[in-house]
Amino acid sequence: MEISRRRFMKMGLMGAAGLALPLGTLSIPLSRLAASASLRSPSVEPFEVPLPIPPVLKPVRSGADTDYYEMTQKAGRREILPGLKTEVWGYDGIFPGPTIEAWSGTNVEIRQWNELPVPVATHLHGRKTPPESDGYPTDLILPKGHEQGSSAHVGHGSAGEHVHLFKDYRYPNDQRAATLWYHDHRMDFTGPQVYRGLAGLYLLRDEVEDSLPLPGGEKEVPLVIADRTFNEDGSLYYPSIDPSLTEEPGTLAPAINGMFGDTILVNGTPWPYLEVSNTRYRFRILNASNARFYDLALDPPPPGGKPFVQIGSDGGLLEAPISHERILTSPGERFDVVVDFSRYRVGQEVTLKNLEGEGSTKDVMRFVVVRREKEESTIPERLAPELAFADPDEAEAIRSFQFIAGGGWGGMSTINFRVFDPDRVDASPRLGSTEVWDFHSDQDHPIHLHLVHFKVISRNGGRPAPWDVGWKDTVLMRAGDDVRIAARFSGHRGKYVFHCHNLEHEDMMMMANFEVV
Amino acid sequence: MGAGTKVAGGAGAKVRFAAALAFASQLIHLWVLPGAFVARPLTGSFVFLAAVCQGLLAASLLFGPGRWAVRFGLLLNATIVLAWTATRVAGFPALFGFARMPVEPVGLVATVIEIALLVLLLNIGHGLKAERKGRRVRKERTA
Repeated sequence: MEISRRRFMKMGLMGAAGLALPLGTLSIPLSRLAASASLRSPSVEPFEVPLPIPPVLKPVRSGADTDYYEMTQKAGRREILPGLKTEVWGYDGIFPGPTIEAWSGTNVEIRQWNELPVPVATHLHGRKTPPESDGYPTDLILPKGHEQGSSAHVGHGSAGEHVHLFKDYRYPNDQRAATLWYHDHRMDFTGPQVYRGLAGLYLLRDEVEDSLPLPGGEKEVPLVIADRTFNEDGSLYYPSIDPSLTEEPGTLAPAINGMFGDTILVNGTPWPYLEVSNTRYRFRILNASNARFYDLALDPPPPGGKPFVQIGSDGGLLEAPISHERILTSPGERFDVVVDFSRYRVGQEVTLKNLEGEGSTKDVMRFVVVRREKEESTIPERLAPELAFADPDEAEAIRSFQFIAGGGWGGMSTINFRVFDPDRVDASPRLGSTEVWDFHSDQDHPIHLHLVHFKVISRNGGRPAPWDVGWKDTVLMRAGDDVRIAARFSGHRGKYVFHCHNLEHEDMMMMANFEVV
Repeated sequence: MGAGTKVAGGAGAKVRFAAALAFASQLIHLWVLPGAFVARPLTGSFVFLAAVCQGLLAASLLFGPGRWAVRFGLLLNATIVLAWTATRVAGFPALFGFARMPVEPVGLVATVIEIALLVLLLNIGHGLKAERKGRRVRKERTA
């Protein structure tokens, strides 16, 4: 069969334009996705570096009823992986940021300076905060160079309140002692900005807690657990579509349901160790990961009883301690636990494991029992006065919310099949009222409500899980779970968000407004 | 493509212009392909297919299109324009996982090109039809 010159040219052009050119272009995103999937952090020998404790920030001044602080959100460089420098975006340039220790009854005002190249919004997670200081996602502190009023986020209706260079966040500390944390909450970019380091602890104390003979001082240890992946040069790897975090939000498709790092950091250090005496220690555990759940256990388990005695949850002390074999925690949750190392012999090494982990993420950190000491603490049978939980029988409304993640091929995550719209309010509870909310999840979602604390009433039609105890502001949900909560909407009127605390889901619009009226 | 249904003569300029528009549309789709594919493979796959088809259409138009090429071009560009418009008017988070998309300048330019291409292809199609009819009449008269 003869092919004419014209037909040959036609076939050639069709092949070039119709196949070669598109396939060549397709190889660009395919190779980017392949590189992302195959990336592994530089290897680190675990349990070689001691656990650091984040510094406690001192107020710049104190008034009659208010302590005033200043923090600067800026880039900083530090050695996270041995021999390599990592740039973090941190509060005062460190990760985790400095800890704020506040007393119930004393107000706190924090001036947040923004010296980063992107807008920021700071949310104090777990606080009953007035709406103007809650870190609403579109209420931004614009950096130098951004014009006042420039939105810096795209396609979300209302522009929000913008300030330039700094903002004063006011926290009336009129709630009970609790382990809180502050972190970035910028619209569309919370995931990458928290990942780069914008997170820190806020410990609220009160006289009730202070009067208890719980382990204190050096034996009260914060554990901020977060997973990260690093490039070969030690820089943090996050699969942003736009790594400058200034234009297009979102992640590469494989991370759309969460960025899971291969290196476990505790207080910003990979797999650290902590030398302990054979006494009780109090650990304030914060899961500050973007998406990873942890099923924490001690290896070896101590003889004669469960290893963890939980004394507090998101909203502060429990009424009475509860013992756990394991602690299952999702992003945003806090667990206040006591571990008694007297049940181990001196010289023994005890590893905090993540039973959900694989490979390098199976280990979290190690405790080394190095000395004997006299025990000076106890765990009282009664920790706090009876907690006045919201009564579901008094609920003025029952609402139902379905949390549906975007598909693996890409796409938005939704609540009740609707993406976040700052201008749309999905619930308007009355100030002081109680409501029952039903959550349904299609896959793992930690659900967080701003402003309110709630009580988990039931899980999948049965009793709440052991880790649901106490006042909660974030509830762990597994795929297919149905969870019912009762919340009292007290404190402040105004517009707040509730959302999935898998930060990639949150950035992909799994968020909604409620307005307390 | 049936014999005797090729574009010829004065319609050549129109066809070359249509091919240029198809190439332009292809280049725009190739331009946005990497960004679309890494974020949303479903959308990216659609953009990739659109680019492939526009390239094939452009090459086919350059070498004397038949009626099937014209029909293919009409269907292809109508689909692309409808898909672009629909995703800028409404969101399909439950079905396809995305909210209403922004009207971005590059998409607007591509849509204008594709609408112009649709008009040209319709015109070329009418020309082909008229030419076929003319041939049939001449053939009947000769017979």
